Amino acid sequence: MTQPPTDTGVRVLLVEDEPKLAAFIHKGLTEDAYSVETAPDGETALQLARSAPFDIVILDIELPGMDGFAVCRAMRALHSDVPILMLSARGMIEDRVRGLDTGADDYLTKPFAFSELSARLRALLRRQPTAAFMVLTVADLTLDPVRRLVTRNGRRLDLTPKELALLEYLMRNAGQVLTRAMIAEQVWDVTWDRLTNVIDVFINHLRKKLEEGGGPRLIHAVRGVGYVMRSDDESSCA
Amino acid sequence: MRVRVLESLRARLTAWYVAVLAVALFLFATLLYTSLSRQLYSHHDEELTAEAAQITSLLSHVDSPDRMAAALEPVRRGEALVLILNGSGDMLFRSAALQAGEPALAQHEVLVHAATRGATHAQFFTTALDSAGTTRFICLPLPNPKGLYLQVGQPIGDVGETLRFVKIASLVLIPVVLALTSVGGLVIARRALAPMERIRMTLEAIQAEDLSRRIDVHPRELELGQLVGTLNQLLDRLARAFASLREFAGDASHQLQTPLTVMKGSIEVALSTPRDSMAYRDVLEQVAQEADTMSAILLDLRALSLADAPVSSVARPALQLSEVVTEAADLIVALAEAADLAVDVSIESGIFVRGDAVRLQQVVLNLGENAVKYSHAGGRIAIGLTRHGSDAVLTVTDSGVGIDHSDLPHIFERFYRSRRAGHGAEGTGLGLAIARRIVEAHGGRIAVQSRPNAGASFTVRLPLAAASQP
Repeated sequence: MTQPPTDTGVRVLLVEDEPKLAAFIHKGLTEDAYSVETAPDGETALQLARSAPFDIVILDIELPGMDGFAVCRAMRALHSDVPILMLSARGMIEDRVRGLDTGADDYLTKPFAFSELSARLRALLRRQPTAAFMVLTVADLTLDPVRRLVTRNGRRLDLTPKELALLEYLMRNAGQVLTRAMIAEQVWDVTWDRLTNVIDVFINHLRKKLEEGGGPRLIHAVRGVGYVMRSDDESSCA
Repeated sequence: MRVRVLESLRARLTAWYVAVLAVALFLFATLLYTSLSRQLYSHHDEELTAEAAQITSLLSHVDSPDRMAAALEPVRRGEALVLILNGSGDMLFRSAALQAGEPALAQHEVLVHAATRGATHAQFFTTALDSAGTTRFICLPLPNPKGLYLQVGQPIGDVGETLRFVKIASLVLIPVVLALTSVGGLVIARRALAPMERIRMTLEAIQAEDLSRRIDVHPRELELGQLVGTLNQLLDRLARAFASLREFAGDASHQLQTPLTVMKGSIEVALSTPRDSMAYRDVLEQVAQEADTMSAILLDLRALSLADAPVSSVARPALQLSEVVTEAADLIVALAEAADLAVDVSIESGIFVRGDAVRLQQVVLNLGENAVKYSHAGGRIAIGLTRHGSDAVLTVTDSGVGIDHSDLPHIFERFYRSRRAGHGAEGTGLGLAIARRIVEAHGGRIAVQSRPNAGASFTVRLPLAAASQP
């Protein structure tokens, strides 16, 4: 269970033309203590964005008039670095790639669970990209992305390429809850509705290899959402 | 109206080639006229040159204009048209023929033109005289006596006539030829375009009545034959797209009916009397589950409608099917592990086919998922890829519940649920239909062998790409 945040002070701009969908996202985000402004179309959204900066933008692709791709480009011209999460009813890999190419930071396909949206927002807000070549460390676990070398407590672990990719994603986002869908997109790049079931199996393999030497558990399940990587002492002080 | 006429391809074609022909004929007539006149005149011009030379020689010893008359006496009396002028255009000598027949000779501006301009070499010109008719003249400066110009003429009645005839004939005949050509051109254009009209009418009928009809016009012309071929291919694709759209709409409305009914019903029942929060929670959870089902159905319907998009195999690079299958098999192994099943994977490397990697992977995933779904715990699944002849052969075998003989012919149909579907398994009933469409869009075949309680074995054959042929 994620702790309900007390007023986060995070300003969210929600660009969504479907009033019901907008209302449900608005309600959910407000309960998560975000401060939300809603724009029903791209022009309004850009106006709002010009008058006051936002911390994050949720942008539907199918909008009347200016479409989400165009809004995204305009936003990028306005605030070069505000995180943008795209929403779309189009789940094709091509659309996803196009969205990310336009400058979106993440892409979520409708229908989605609110917990999924919320997890992605948190991930985007806390994102502090670590340089691709830097050695990652969580507790006594280290991963060297360049040499593709993983050690725990000095002992070298033998991982398959998929396990390595999975571990790298978890470690890069240590402390953050990652949903199964996020993991699936990041590590597998296959559209398959059973992938989320399969992820549990891969996580179990990875856990087994990480815990062979008797170290404490680092990959924790978050019920109903996904997984988080953190060392226990971190979680106790969180 | 003029614009309307020119909008017709027939009229435009005709107009174009009549215009081109008119220019060509005009050029031809002009060239003919100039070369003919040059040819005809050159004959006279030679004679005139010779005659002028004779007269010049008669005057070779005459130094003064006053003494010319005597020397020219033989010339004066003859038929010849001879004229001598000074630089001011004054006629100092005229032969008898010119004297008698042409009282107004001095008024012929052309006659004095060359002399007054101070011709330095022989010049030729043509003019019409009252007595002699059209006459060709030579004008040349006399070496003796100096400052005078000799002009010798010759009637050229027939040449003028001929040239005039050519001119008139051209002016009359060219429009006649053009008129005839326009008519002929229109007729030819109409005949050439007649198959187009038939194609158009057929297309009109097809779009109005029945997309399954094809253009049954077989023009002899290669270009039109190709057009018909392309149009028929287009109709094929349209018909397929239409059918798949109709199928999608029909399936969606039909298949979403059940979960919607369940949702609506359970919500209404829940609202009918006040309940405790646990009861509401149960209903909400059920509704969420139904929503997931609907979402899965829509996802699969979309996959189904995209599955048979034709793979233009020529344009696609060969892809390593071995890698695609290996990656998918990894996922199936994990899925099987969760269901307490063992998987034997045996994949021959270096097998290439042409196609869409994402869709081919979906085939393996769907077959694998199917195998997992219908297996008993502790069972075995085998995934294999080999080559056989010119085919890549993918097999997915399970040791599960098997398929009833009566179900076998139908299992690749959309939403076909055999009795084995009651095996506690969930799904949209589309996995195998999607797999078959993808395989067929890649020019392959899919088959199944099974006996009840003896497992099932699915075999997919795809044509190998050249790269993997031994």
